[in-house]
Amino acid sequence: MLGPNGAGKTTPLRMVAGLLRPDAGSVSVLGIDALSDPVAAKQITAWVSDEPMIYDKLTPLEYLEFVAGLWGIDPAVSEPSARDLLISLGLESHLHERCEGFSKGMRQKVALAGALVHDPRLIILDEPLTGLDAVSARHVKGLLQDRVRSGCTVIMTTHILEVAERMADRIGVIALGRLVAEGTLAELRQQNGQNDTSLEDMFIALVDTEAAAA
Amino acid sequence: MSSAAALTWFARHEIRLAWREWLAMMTAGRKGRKRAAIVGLIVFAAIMHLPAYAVIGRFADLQAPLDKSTLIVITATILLAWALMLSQAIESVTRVFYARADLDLIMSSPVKLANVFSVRIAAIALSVIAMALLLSTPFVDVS
Repeated sequence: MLGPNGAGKTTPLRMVAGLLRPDAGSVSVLGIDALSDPVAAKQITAWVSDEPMIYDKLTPLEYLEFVAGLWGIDPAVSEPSARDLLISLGLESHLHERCEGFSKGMRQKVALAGALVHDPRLIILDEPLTGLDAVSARHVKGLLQDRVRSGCTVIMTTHILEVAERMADRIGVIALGRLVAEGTLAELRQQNGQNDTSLEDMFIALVDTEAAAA
Repeated sequence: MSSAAALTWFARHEIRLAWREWLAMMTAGRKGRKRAAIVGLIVFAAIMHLPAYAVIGRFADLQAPLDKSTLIVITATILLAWALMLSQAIESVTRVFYARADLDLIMSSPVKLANVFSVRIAAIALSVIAMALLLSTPFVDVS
């Protein structure tokens, strides 16, 4: 999901995650009506906000154990996968440290590990790469691509167009609260009649057109 | 997880967080001060006997009927205690529900929200009672 600041990217994602109730319309999560059966929809969904919350007074392992518990997973079952996730994100030497001294990037990684620990089928991420260094960003992108390869769906917002261009199977552009374009990169180019343009040029043209029409 | 097990599990999580937050507040985040914090609390309760004696010592062994000044002191004490508990409860609600900022996480999970928030509100009530007891016990002891 791409869009300028304040365009309304986060709001629909919060609706899908069950954090906001839409005024109208419906929300379907992999075939489950999220408005009539929110618990079933939440069971297979993970949400990570752009300012992820982790408890300062818990260690990453304790945090992941808590998150797994929210999804009804026994700590004995979640502990090995929690450990593996944290190690895969480069946090091996911090497993038993409390999170209070962690940098923003480290906190982002712990939150992401928390989102993955219950093995969701749909992962919703609001600007997950913001604040991450290049190595961490690569770790996160690799982990997300692995999840997609294993059949998981990932929806993420980003301001980094290169990330969308390289990672996304489908791209949605939101401007002034409306989905103004959606499809694969090739489809977007076709819709806009610009076959060899960059995503950045296309994005700016779409947003400008929407602003002019408003 | 059954409903009772979920409640117990979440209560354990709340107690662990509350204990660590309290300890960090009492020790300014320094390690190895746990014992000093507990001893400090006991000393505080002991020292509180002095102001308690000064305030209500002369009202010990009261006999009915009570005079007007005694009733005023008792009423003021009850009002002060109530105000203290109210301010403590407001501070706890702000800290536990908002400063922790974990509502997104909890509300996006399939956990039963009524259970979770009941435990959280009970924890607030318990912490307020504990604080009130710490301050009022010396007064009760003196009287």
